[in-house]
Amino acid sequence: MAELIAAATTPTTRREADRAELLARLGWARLPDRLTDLGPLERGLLLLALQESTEEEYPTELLESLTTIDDCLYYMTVKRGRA
Amino acid sequence: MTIDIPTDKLAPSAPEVVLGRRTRLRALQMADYGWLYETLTDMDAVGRWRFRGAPPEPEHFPDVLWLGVQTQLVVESLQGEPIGLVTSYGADLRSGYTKVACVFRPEFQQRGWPFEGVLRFVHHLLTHWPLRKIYFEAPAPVAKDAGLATVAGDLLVPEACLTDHDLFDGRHVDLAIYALTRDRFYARFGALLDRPVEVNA
Repeated sequence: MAELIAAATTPTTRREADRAELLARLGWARLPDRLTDLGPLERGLLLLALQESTEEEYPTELLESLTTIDDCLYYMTVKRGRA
Repeated sequence: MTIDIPTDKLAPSAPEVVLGRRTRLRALQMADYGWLYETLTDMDAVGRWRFRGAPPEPEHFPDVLWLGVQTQLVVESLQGEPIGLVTSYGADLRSGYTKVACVFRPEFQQRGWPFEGVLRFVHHLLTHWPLRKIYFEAPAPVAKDAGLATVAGDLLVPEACLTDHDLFDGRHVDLAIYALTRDRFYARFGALLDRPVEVNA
C-alpha cells in the first residue's frame, strides 16, 4: 500500500493529475503544448481555469508570460507547495 | 485619427462602469471612435467583425456602429487603456435572445485576460434584460481561430451551421452559430462572478 501511495504522488503523476484537472475544468478533449496554439477565447478560458484551480489571482504580467502548458502546471505545483 | 461626431450619436446614457479584476466596462464615448475605427478597419479584423469586410466611410461610422445594437460597452484596462468593444445586437427581448460580438485592439487579441470583459458583459446582459440565450456567430474559419469550436459542447452549444454562406477571404464558407444559455453560463462562471472583485492589475 505504501508503494502505491508513493507511486501516486510522484511529481510526474501529480503533473498528470493537474493536467487532468485543467482538462476537466475546461471540458476540453486535450491541451495543446503551446499556448500560442490557442485562440483568444481558449486562452482566456485556460487562464481562468488555472486561477480557479489554484484559487489564486495571478498578476497580469505573469499571465501574459505563460507560453506553454508546462508553465501552467509549474504554477499549479508551486501554488500547492510541492517540490 | 479624429472623427467629429454629432452629439446625438453619443451613447444614450451616462458612462457606466462594470468593474472586473483586470478590466472594466464603460459606455462608449466620443473619444473612442478614433481607435475603434482604426481597429475595425485593421486588415486582420476587417473581415472578422460585424462589418465583414465592408467598413463604412468614416463620417458614417457612428451610425453604422450603432445599427441594430441593443447595447455596447468599451472594455478597458484598470489603468484606463481601451482594449476593445463588446456589443449586443439583433436582440429580441420578447423571445429572450441576442447576439454578441467582440473585437479587441490587435495588441490585446492574444493575451487571454481581456476575455474577462466579455464575461462581465454577458453577465451585465443577463442581469439587466430577460435574456435566455446569447448567440455568437462567425464564419467557420473565424470561429476556429477564436476557439469557439473547442468550447462548443461544453459551454457553447452549436445551434446551426449555414453552409457555404459567407464570402470570406475569396471563398464561400460556413456560418457557424453557437448559443450560450443562461444556465450554462452561470453553471460555469457563477462562482467566479459572485466573488467580490479584488482589483488585480
